[in-house]
Parts: sequence; C-alpha cells; structure tokens
Amino acid sequence: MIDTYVRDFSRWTAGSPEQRDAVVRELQTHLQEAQEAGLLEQTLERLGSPREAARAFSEGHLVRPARLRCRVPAAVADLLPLAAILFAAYWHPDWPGPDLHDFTRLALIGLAVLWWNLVLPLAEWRTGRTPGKGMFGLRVVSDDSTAISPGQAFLRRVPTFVRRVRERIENSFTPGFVDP
Amino acid sequence: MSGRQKRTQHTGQEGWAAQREFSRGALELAVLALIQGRPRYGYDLLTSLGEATDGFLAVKEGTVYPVLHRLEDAGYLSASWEAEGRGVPRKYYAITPAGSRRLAVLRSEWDRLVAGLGRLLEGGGT
Repeated sequence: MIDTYVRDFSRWTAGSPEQRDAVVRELQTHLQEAQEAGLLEQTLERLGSPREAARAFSEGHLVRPARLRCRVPAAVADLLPLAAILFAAYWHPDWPGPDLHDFTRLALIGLAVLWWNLVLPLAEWRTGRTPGKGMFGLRVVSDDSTAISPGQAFLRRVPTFVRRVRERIENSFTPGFVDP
Repeated sequence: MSGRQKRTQHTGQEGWAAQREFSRGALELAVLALIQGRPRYGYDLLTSLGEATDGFLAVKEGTVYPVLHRLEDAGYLSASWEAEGRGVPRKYYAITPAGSRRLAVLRSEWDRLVAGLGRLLEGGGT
C-alpha cells in the first residue's frame, strides 16, 4: 500500500530530481513510521489522494516563474528541430523527383507535427521538461506546483496548433476582388 | 482520540475553526521551538506538536512538511539523513544560527501579542 501511494505521489511531485527524491523519501519514511505505530490508515486519510499530498508538500518549496532570458532560448532550442524540418520540407534546393518530393515533404511535415504535438508534450508530461527546457534548467508545473497531467501537457500545445490550422483555412479563402 | 476530535470535544466546530486560524500563525514558532530542543524528524515533530499543545497544534502532514521545507529553504533549519542503529534513515531537522535568531524574534513578537491581547480582553476592549 505504501509503495503504491508513494509511487503515485512521486508522479505528481514537481521539482528537480534531487528535490523530488528527497520529498518522496521523506514521505515514505513517514508512512513507514505510521505503519509501525499502527496509524497508517489514519495518516493516509489525513494526506488525501497522492495528488493532494503532492500539492500540499510542494507548497513548502519555492517554485518561481522562469525568467524570460531562460524561457526564450529554451523555446528557441525546442523550435530549432521544427525549423530545420520545415526548412528541409519547403526550401531544400536539391529536391529529387516530383513524386518523392511530395511524399518526402508530407513525411517531413508529419514529423514536424509529431515533434511539436506529440514528442514535446510527452517529454513535458513524463519529465516536466522538453530538450530546450532541460538545457536551461526549466520545468513545467501546474498552477498548484504539482507535475502536469497528460491532458495539460497536450492541451498546452493546442492553441498554437489550432491557431495555425485556422490561419491556414483563413488564408485559403482570402476574399479578393475580381476585375470584371 | 485524534487531535481534531479532542479539540472538537473541547470547544465544538466553531472552536475548532478558531484554533485552526490561530495555529496557522503559531506553527512556525512552535516548530522552531520544538526543534531548538533537539533535532527532530517529521513524524516525531508531528506527534510532539499535538502532545505538547494538548491537541491545539494537532496539524496534518500536509501542513507540517511544507513549513519544514520552507524553513529549510530559508536557511532557518538544516536537514540531514541519519539512522539510529539498524533503523530506517530519517531526515532530521536541526535549527541553524539564523533559525535561532528567527525564533527569538517570533518569541518576542508572540509575547507582545499575548500581553497586548491579555490587556485588551481584561479591559473588555475599552
């Protein structure tokens, strides 16, 4: 019971790996003490769900919003692979035959979409970090300082994605004048 | 009997709510005071808080640990993992010189508050 609770608690705990290990280890010790005293059930009841416990424990740690001078280069680092893929898809000078051209271009665009809408959200969900954020020591957390849920990780990307699609659609039907 | 049950038995739900408000402000002082006596780990501190205050400060884990972490981050407490004999290693918190100074300030302010409130209540608020 303790192991399951602590594993779920660890899942929701934000912070650096060292911070998380320390907090998780401390909770585990606490629960073992409670078990030895025959008070495990009451202790777990007081703690609430693992997420509630993680939220309460994280209140003691200072989680500061990242500075712009870290966020900007981190975002640039995450965008570089995307830019490289899109550059290859649209501006490659030595593009082979037309068939391969279309197929490869589609594949590259698919890769870009996957990178932005699958790889980065998955990385943020599992570790709180994308490659760029990892390079600059940033971590994505919820408003209550717990780790983000899978839904939050994917929804964070939706506005950008939806905006792009909407712009594409709008550009496809741009009203114009017809010279009679 | 849990701390909350004990408190509710003494003063009812309203009393419990009032105690919760008071204990929120007094917790940092109580934690520093207990740890100044000797280094303590979380479980020990939690039970001691309830016992030493007759249930008044019988707070939850989700209240005590954030206070400990905040005091540690602020440099008022230092922490180290230690094991007694073959027992499970525990994270012991000890007070630092900055923590002792903080405790002195809090204690002084607490004394002023108690004295001031005492005068106010004895005078009937006039």
